[in-house]
Amino acid sequence: MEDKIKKQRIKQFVFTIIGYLVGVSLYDILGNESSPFRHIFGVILVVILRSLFDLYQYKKHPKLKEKEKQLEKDERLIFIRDRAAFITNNIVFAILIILWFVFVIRGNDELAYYLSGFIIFIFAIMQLVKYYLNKRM
Amino acid sequence: MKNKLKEIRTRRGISQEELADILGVSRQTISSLENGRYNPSILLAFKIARYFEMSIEDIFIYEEGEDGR
Repeated sequence: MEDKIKKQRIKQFVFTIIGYLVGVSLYDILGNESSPFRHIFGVILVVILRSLFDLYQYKKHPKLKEKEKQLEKDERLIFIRDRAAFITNNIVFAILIILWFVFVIRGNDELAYYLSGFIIFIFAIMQLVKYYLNKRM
Repeated sequence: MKNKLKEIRTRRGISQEELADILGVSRQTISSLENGRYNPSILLAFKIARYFEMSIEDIFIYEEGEDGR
């Protein structure tokens, strides 16, 4: 069953890409001008295709949804997800700080100013979430 | 942390998939536990012990100086 879920996720990914490309192309073929609606049309088609695909999969394999819910609660997968989020967060922070240094060195004061504001904002949110979780646990 | 999970499970004649379904975890989690790559939470350790009608110490072996996962 877990293999089926893996295959389903791969298919979902493929459907997302295809759905988006078909949606955007359809929008162009219908003779509309390029606009933000072009991308929204793509996203709408992705949502429709994904929903139809999921409905078909759940009808074909009735136990799939149950297994998916079980995997969502799997403590090892939650641990992996948390660890991945932590590592990603650190990488993003490192990239932002490197970018800030680059902007400062190149004299892009305005960009460095906005970026430092963004870094402080993200850091403040992180501290707030930590504070909240610390109070709850 | 070392454990006797694989030994106990095979003695009972159940597969990793079956045990995973019973405990509400993935088969990979059972595999990782058996290989000692992952240490369970106290809750999962209790569930495993309850299922096999054993104590946690009968299944999981804590060694001094262990920490983290």
